[in-house]
Amino acid sequence: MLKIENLTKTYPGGKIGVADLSLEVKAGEIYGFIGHNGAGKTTTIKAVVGLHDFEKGNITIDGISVTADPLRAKSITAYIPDNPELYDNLSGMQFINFVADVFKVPKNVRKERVEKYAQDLEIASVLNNQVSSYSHGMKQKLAIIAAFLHEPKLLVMDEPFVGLDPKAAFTVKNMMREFCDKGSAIFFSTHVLEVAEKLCDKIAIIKDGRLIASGTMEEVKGNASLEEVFLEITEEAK
Amino acid sequence: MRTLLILLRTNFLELVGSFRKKGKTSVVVAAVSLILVGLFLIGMFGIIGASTAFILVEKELGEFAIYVSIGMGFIIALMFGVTNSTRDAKGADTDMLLAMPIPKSHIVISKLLGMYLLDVLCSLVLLLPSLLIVVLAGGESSMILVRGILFALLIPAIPLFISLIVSALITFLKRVTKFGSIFSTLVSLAVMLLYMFIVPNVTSYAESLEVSPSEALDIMKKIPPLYWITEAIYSGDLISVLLTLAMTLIPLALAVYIHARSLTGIQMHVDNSKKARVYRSSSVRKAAFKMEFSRYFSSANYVMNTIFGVAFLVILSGIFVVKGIDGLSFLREFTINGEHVLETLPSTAWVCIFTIFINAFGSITTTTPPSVSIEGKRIWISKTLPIATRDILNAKILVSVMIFAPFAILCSIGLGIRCGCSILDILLLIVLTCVYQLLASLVGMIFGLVFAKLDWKNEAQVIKSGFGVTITMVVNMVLGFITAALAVIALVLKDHGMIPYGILLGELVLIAGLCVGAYAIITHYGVRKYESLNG
Repeated sequence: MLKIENLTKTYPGGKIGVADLSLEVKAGEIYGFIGHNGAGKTTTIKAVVGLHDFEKGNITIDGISVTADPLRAKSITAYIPDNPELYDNLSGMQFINFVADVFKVPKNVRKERVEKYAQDLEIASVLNNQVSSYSHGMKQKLAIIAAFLHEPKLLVMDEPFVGLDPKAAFTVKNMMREFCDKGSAIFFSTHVLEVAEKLCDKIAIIKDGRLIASGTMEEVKGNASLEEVFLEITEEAK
Repeated sequence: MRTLLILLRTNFLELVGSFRKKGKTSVVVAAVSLILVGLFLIGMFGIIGASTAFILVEKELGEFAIYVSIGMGFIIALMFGVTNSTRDAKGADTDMLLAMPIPKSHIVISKLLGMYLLDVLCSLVLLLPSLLIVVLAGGESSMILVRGILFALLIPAIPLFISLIVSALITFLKRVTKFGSIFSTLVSLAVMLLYMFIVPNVTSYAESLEVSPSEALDIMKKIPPLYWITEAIYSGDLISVLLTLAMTLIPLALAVYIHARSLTGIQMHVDNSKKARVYRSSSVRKAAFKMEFSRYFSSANYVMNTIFGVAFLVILSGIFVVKGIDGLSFLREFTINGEHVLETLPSTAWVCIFTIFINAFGSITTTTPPSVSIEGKRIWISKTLPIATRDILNAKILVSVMIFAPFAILCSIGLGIRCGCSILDILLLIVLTCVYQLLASLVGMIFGLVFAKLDWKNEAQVIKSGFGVTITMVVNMVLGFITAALAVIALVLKDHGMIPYGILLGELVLIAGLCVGAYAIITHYGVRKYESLNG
């Protein structure tokens, strides 16, 4: 579903964001992406969703190149940033309608999905309120609803659990699992290793812009805990 | 007391810091800039107050001079207060301050004091010159000066109270309806227009005023609260003094109370959960346009800084349609080769005049220059959604045209009919003004993209002082002059058969050609530039 080949991104000033990174996320998989702060997770994610350009490499989503045909690639992708800055002066419902229009979600389908997700994430009562009155967690929930709304083939999430209350985090995890069981794929970054360990089918560890480990959970961690393996691998790579 | 002083010092440092341009300017330079701005405002308002008072005192209308000064001070304080309250009902630092070991009363006082001192300054700057002129030139009792200074400290309580009421009302409306922002914009616009129509024209009003002192008294009595304050200062009449004290001290107490309540977050809870959720579907392009349109009208700042052209166009056109040339006295002085020719102008000439008139307002009504920068950190939304960049930019251009064009069309029709223009002339006028508005918007879009700034903290930074906004105004002004020059040539040749039409059609072709060129730049360079932006 998502194929990243030899991705290289250098920032102005020569700082390497990502160097020669390759990985593949298959349909039905939840793929976790972990690493220290500044390791290159967000850079990779932003390159996948079209927010960053890159010098070398190729990224395809369901066989569609994000550089050659960005609109088609975006039409089957959804992105949830780590700090969702939304249009503060609009209501949650206005924002959802905007996203649904862009993804051409029919009226009855959007109604059904919004009601369900809003109920599950306990945000239904505030959907008509202005986004500026939302807490960080509520904005995150709204961004999640907007992302799930059109049932994308690939969902890209940057630290999706930051700011969510425990119940919402649990709900989102269930939504992610159900979503992938239907044949879609999720590529997400996280610092919460326990979540990655329980939720992910595959995992990749990045350090200083380079991939230092990837594979199924068993392949990467064996019998040890993910936390132990992560600390060991990242120390070795110094 | 210690914490109050700390808060006041911090407020002052923050004010100075706002002049430091990302810390690049030294504190001394920033403080000097602040003082210069203050002196400029004092000088500007002081001169208006003094010259008005001098004219009125010469006409033996000393009391009326004080009345006018109080009124002006009131309007200026109201303009500052209302504009401020529509922008930020609750300061961004309030939560942080409330979490600190600072008495709530100190927070309230420090916040109110800043607003109050500004209002006192406005009141004094306008009132003091009037009082001095009334006492020194008018030979009145020096007690007027003493009473005037004392009451100048109290009068600002009224506009302060009104501003806080407006602020509370806007906060409430924003919670219960989606019209809060529109209301906020309308209130700001109304106060701004009140200021722009009254304050700069008050001196010429004083000059043209030919009334006796008793007739002036009748005028003053039409606004009783203002009259009572004037009487309290001028004659020291006990009832007027008591009424003035009641009118100022009660609002002052209420202002403190309202501000204290708004600080602690005691908000009127509104349950939107039972409100029906609206599911409306649109095409992608329409969705992009609707989003741009909603975002424009949801920002009072954005609307306030771009709607003046429309407001003035509608008001002046309305006056012209109702009153004809007599309604706009300056038009009667319009001469060609020394002749007053407006009364006998042919239809073509009116098209030329109205083209200049409407396009002048169109130049200052472009919403495109800040439209890219205003996306700020939210640019990830449009960049990750499957909307073609060209459609996003088209939506921004369309919003700019749609805001002005309907009014340009209505005014063209109204003005055209009033001056007896033919249908073809009115159509030509409509096309000329709408195509010019498109050009102004395209120019704004280009500079908005070139000087895009996404790392702002307050949207006013990009709406008011963005480089793209400034340079667009300059370029549009130049374009306006060129098109106006062509219209003037057509006007001069009004008696040469079809030649004026030929010139106007040439102008249309020129503007349309520039539009095509500008749009080509946007669809090539502009699209690439937008795609390279990162919030």
